[in-house]
Amino acid sequence: MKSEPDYKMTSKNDEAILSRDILIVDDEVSNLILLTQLLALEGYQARPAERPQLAIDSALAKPPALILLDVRMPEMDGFEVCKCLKQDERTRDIPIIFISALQDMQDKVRGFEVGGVDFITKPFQEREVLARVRTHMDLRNMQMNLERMVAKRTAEVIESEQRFRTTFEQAAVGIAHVSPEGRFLRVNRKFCDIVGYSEDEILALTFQDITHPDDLEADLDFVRQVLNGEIETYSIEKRYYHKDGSIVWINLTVSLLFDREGNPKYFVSVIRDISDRKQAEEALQQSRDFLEHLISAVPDAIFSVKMPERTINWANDSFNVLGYESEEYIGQSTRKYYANPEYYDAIGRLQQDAIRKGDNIVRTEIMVLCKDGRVIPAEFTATYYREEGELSQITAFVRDISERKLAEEKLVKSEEKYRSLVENSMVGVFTTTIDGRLTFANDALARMFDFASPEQIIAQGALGRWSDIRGRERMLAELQKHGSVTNFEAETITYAGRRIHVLFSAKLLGDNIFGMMMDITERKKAEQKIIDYQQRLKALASKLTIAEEKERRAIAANLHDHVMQALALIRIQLASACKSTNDSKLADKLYDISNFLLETLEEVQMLMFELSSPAMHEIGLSSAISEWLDEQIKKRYGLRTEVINNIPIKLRKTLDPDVRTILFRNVRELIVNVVKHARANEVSVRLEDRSQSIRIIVEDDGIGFDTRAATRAGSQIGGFGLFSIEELMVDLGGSLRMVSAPGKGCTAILSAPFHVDKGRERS
Amino acid sequence: MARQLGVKYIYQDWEADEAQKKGINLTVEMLSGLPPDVIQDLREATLMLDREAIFTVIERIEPMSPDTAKGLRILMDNFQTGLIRDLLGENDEK
Repeated sequence: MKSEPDYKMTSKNDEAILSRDILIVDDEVSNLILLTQLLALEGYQARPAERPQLAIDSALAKPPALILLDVRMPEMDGFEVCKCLKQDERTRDIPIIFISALQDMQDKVRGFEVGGVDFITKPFQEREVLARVRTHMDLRNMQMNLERMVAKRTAEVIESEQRFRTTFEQAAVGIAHVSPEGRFLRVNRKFCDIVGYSEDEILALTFQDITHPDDLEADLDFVRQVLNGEIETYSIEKRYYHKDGSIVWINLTVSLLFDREGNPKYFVSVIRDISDRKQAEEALQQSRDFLEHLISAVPDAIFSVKMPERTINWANDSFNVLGYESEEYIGQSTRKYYANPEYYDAIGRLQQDAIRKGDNIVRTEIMVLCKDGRVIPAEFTATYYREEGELSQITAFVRDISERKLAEEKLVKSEEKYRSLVENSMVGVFTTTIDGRLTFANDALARMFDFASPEQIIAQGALGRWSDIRGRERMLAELQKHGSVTNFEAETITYAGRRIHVLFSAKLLGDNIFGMMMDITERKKAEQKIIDYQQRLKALASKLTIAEEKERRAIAANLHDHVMQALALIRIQLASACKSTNDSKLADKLYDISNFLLETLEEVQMLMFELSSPAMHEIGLSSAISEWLDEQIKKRYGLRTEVINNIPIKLRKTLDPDVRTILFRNVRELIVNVVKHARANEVSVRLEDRSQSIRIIVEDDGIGFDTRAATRAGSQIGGFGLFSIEELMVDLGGSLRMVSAPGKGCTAILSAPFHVDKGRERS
Repeated sequence: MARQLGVKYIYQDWEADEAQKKGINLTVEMLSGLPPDVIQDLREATLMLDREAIFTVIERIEPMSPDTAKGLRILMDNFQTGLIRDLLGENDEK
């Protein structure tokens, strides 16, 4: 308020500057004379012009303070003169008073329209003229003073604003104006630099947005206190988030600005980047913490001796490891901690020696005395720090190594135990380098490879030769990939040239392979024997089936040739006996016997069919199946049956009788299975020729089953039946394939070669 | 007021040619014969419509050309500043 200029003073001072020129324009010389004299008497500078153009030129050359302008003039009327002057910057603001002889209202309106400020009517009243002139001169003066003042004030404000802006912008500290709610209203360049945001970005944020959450509460508390008027200003150290996410430590000083009504306007925040200082402090603290942690974590008693004064400095609490309290060792010699004074002297000599030689470190084992009287082994380490070649400090570490000693002893014992286990193991144990060089072997391994002792096999360098090089590569690949191999089988050749099968497990430990190996040659042999037996068993089963089939055929033939013939003959004889007797009772009896005989004949015939269809040998596989289906399945169980033979006629005869027998048996077995389990309505059999092999497809529309479950040995559904069919087919060099799913029926596909290689089959 | 009316009369009949008839023997040549600084000052003073300045220039002309000074005085007494400028050639182009 005080700085505001005094209006009156300014106006008085400036009055002299303002011109008192009055331009008078009138074509009537008498008026010019009159007005000139009148105004001159009042102290005005009158400038009379009798021509409008001269008036305009003069006004432009030297703008007067006021113009008295006649309306009616011959060359150019007053309104045009006025318009002309109003168009020019220099004369636009000069007040113009029109002089008019007329009382015409229209003229007045026009005069004001073109920019006149007043009217004087002819003939003049001198006092009126002077009064109007004075009024407009005063008005003009006032206006000019006002304008000047405004300009001056504006300039001052601009200058002050510029000064402020320069200070604000150039400041070496970050400055922000912050609304009471926390929004940034204005920030300087340094502030932007510190937080990494552009001015536009920061103005869209609040200080809460960029303040570290751990520091926000304290800051907000201060803000509340300032707003409540409890404090005027505060200064804290806190963290901002830089735009890149890093943390910036700042020192913040805040004060609050109030508006004229005393309401909070905005906070002025001044921030200084103290990250470097904070980092240095933090680093120092960290290094201190680390050192302290290190000292507390190291189970050593630590002390340093300053040379040459020999003052001892104890690391805090560190001698507690020996059971002493700090007051017991501070200011004391270290001599009393040695179990024997000789140790103290020995250490002294050792150190003297090291110092003389210029060594930086000495380490030895000694016995020290604990407070409780125990004597324990300790490791003594001293380091020497020299300044300009002179010893300035000795730092010594005394570590209780009694546990280590115990552990070492245990380790030795444990190692002995495991060594004896390994050495006496029945299993071969070895270690090799990654490229196969043997570094350790036990007795069992040496024996396995026909060496007299482990030393011999190690001297020889490697394990036995692999009979399969790829086996070793495969094993190494697996070892590299998984770090170990388990139960890997290989065949190797021993030192004596024996071929042995080994089973081994190995583990990769660093660059070494640690392995165990067992000779499984005997087991392998036994396994092979079992496989051979299985093969033979299968062959026997086939033979058995074929033999069984032959036997059936023989029995059937016998039944046909002998029993049935005999029974038929008996019937004929009975019929003739019946005719020749007159005894009606006997005849009846004979008739009954004859009927009974007929039934027996039919049963025998049925039995014959069941044993062996005579048709197969006479009419072929397809017809035999067809006939068997008719007789045994269709009639007895009411299933619809169908047989389709797609095998070309010339091929049909080439089918090996043994194959035919087994196929017939298997088809029969399959269909019996269908009858027993499938609950089918229809079964079809299709015979097809597949280059060198015959294929029989047995398909039903029954309930189906899960084939995976069925092929498992001993399964309830497939059971031994399917297993034996498959075995027989495999023995023939063929196969059995089942396609089925619950509810989807079942398709069995039998494949077999037309001819069987007798040699292979019976191998 | 009588003086005012008289002047008015003079003015009403005033023409450049008539000025000469009334014994004002003022020509363009007479003025252009004056020293350049005087001409310049007269031009300046007439443009400013500064009567005092014009009379001062006329006083300077008096010793070098009394006729010219006399003619100029008569024009000034009749408030014919525009006419003086005509004679100075100021309004030729217009």
